[in-house]
Amino acid sequence: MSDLLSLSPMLACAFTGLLVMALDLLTGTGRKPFLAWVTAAGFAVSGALALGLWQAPVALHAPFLSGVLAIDPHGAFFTGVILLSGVLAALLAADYLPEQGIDGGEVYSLLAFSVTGAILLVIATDLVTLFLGLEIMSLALYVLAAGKRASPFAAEAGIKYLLLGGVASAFLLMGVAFLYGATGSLDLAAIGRLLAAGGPGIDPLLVQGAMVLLIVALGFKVAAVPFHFWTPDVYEGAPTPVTAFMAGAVKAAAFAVLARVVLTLARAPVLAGLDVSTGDLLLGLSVLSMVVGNVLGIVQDNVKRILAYSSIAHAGYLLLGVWATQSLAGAPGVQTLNEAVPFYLLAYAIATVGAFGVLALLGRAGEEDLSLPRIAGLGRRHPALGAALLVSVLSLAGLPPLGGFLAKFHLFQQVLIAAPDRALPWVVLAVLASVVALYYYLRILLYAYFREPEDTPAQAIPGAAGTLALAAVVVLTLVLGVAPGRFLVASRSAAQAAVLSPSAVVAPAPATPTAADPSRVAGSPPVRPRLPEALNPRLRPLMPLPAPSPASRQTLVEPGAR
Amino acid sequence: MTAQMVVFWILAVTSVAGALAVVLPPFGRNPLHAAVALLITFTSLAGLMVLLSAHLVAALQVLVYAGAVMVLFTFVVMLLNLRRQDLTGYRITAWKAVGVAAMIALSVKMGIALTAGLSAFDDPATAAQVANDFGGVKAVGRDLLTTYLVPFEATSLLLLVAIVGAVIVARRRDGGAA
Repeated sequence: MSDLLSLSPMLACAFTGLLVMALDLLTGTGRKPFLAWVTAAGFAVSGALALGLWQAPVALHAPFLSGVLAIDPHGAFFTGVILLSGVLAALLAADYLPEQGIDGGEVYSLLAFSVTGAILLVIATDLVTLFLGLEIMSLALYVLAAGKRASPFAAEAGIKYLLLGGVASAFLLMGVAFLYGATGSLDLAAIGRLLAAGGPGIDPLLVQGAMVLLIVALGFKVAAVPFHFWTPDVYEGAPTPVTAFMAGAVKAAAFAVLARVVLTLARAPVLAGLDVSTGDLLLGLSVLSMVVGNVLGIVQDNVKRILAYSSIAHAGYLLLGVWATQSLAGAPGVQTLNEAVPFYLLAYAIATVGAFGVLALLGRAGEEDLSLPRIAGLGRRHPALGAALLVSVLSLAGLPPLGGFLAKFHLFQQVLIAAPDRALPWVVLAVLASVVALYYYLRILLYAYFREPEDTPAQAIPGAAGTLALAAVVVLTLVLGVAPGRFLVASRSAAQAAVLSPSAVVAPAPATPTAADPSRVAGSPPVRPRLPEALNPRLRPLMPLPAPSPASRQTLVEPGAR
Repeated sequence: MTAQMVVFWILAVTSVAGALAVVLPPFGRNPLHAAVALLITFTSLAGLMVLLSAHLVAALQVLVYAGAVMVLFTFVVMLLNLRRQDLTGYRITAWKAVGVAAMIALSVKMGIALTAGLSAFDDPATAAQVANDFGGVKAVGRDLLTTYLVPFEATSLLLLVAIVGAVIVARRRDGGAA
């Protein structure tokens, strides 16, 4: 029973998908937006259950669950981000789809299944389950991406996403096979322990090959350069609420699993023999994503494509955050995931869903050419939509007092604190890239507020659901920027649970009420490190850092601390 | 060289040759020829799985891939009703050359990694495990419903999504019923 309770957020989403599918048959044409509210309500129930689990965690008991799924702060945090994006996307779709002549309830059930897959992905600790979660999420999205039948870009978006996604899945499977060949296990925590302990039976080439294959596969899902080619086309061709979901939830889920897999494996001593270390690989992807994403964003004229390149650039900043850990960058203070990364993903997901949401509500009457001149004068014609666009885009650009600013500041600062000697040039590059990005973000706002509307400006779809979603985006973005304390604490405990193998956690989690969850490897006692740290060549001596305090805001106001 | 090794090499060569024939001219130019070449690969793989004592997987490989999937491919190719002039225009571009070079490099790397890493199969413990009903219906079924119950159940959701998705994509453009 308590196992069912632990899995209830995911089960609630799956049930929502089935319920909506059944209700779709009973609902007549033209009344489908009602299903969006059912879907959003299902996601809200699931979110409430996830929040309850976060407050009072339940351990997993059944033998087939331990080592396969983990209900920990990491999973719970990203479940929340995914569900939030899902609710907002469902509400936006309620207004958008009828206007585009897409009268089908299947969008909502597929959205619910995609959310289910994403949740399975972030709570999976077994590589096969992880793969299945990724496939459930992606398969539903391939269909959703091709949803706009009238548009010539829709088929291209669907096919492109399907083929490239299939290749990425093949890479992931091959990486899993290599890992299984090297360690004989599919349980990520056990693999992490085996690799960290080292040993004569583990073939270094297999582990190194697995690492590269997994990074390629997950790099595709997070849209990092050079695996980004699908992103602008798919984002442009997909129905805009689906694009919002892809940019928000899918990126969050993919980053959650990327951080978990790479960081759990990265402590393997055998990886030290690689010509190009895993850390350098991630750093290379990060730098390429920041530079290419922002530079190509400048030359775009379609707002959806601008936001797609913005999403690529944000993947670059986030990869820098994933990189700044002990195992990848030699940062002695960060044993697990950098604590700024989950918060950044939350702020980014909300802002990007908001920006795409405004575009969704501008898709009047089947046509959806969203080049910059068509949104000219938006601020005057539709002040509410204009304000939502302003808040979302400024948050993506990282201007105070919005969530995006705090997230970016926190991320860059934490990266610098983690690896002061190595990270400085890359953080400078990231800041410069953000300044370049300001150009295209402000260009959107320039058109929206200071240009005279042309002959056929984009008209807004009137609708309660979309307005509600955008209002929520604006409020949340402001809250994240002004009163982020609670979210920063949550982000920290999520980050500390990211690495699966318990031997990785040297410093205990801070004793906050939300973080009191040792049930991550439920059912099995915490495993001590096999080697004393002094004998392990990969673990550098710990820098005497101050104990992490629950009020993370303190770290924010002492930038000179390093 | 044991008889097993002889069979292995025959199957290995035919499976790789079949896979190459799928994408390379002259067979790769004609979809139906490519499908037949793929059939050779599928069957050879089934043989390799028998050599690995994975009898159930070998049977499923023949039934599902060499059987059902191949019939599906053939149907689709025939329904597309391609004419000869549709099949021309095979050009070697710089991107394709880069892709082929990367693929060859990756194959060589993976081959080296695999040959180095699979010494575990010489282990007597592995042989003892293989003798114990390994790869049969009973053993796979037991594992599927105990150790791998969560992936097993998740697969049902995956198949549901695939079916729903296929129906939606295949539906007529006017939005009518399937």
